[in-house]
Amino acid sequence: MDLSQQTISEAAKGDQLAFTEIVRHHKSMVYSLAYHSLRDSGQAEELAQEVFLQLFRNLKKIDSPAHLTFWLRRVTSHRCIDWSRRQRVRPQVSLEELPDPPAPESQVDPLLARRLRELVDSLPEKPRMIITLRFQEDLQLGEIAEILDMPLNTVKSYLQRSLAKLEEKLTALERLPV
Amino acid sequence: MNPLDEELKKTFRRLAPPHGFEERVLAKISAQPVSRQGLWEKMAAAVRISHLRWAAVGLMAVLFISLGVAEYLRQKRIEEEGKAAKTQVMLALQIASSKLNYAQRAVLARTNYLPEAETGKPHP
Repeated sequence: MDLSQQTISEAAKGDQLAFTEIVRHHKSMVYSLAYHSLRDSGQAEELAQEVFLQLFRNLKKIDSPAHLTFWLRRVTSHRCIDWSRRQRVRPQVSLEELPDPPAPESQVDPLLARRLRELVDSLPEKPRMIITLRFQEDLQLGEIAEILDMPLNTVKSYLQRSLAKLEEKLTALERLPV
Repeated sequence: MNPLDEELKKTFRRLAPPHGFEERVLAKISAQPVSRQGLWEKMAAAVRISHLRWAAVGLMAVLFISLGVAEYLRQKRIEEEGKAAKTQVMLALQIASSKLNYAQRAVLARTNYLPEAETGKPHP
């Protein structure tokens, strides 16, 4: 269920319960964006906490639930890109240490998932963020362009090149049926 | 849908953060200092708090500017009066000088000390 405008207004007035509801509603999105970008659960949590802290300070600027979702995706994405550039983060936990998803919709081949993650990790920050936004959040290219402040054609080109590269490497490994 | 897209969707699915995430976020917010204002916020707060103070500052500024303008006009008036006095003195000196010249010529004419060229008569 979506958050109501009233919850946002109450949180902006300092209602802690309303703010907790916002955090509960969006924590999975923010944390996952951070985790898929940084590949470190500790750093992902730290970044997600900072995003919510920033949200707390800027709640009065949020004018609707849709704006809130856009704002969180945008702030998280930019922070992830900056964080990755600063620290050049590399995976620090193994697949086994990953937190369990709340309700997986389908079975994931762990080896394939791991290989895919490694391949996506090898991409530069922005293409990696584009892949994350596209496949985690199921966003259209126009929405990704708006979130990342990038021209639509650049997003399209990054995505096409990244997918071609991933497909080429995976096909070579015969991991995917072609 | 492309098999790669499907695999990516599965791989990049949303994950739940570690247990107790909300509590840690709220604790982090509570741990923040009450007033962590930046320069801009401080300036904005100053403007918000003291409208009367800003009004007083504006009034003082108007007063200082008025005093400055008045002083400037006074100096300019004194300067113009000085110039007028100087012109009058110069005129008076010119008049006095021409009168003195006239008197000198008259005296010299009577005592025949004027040169021939000026009187039209031969010098004795």
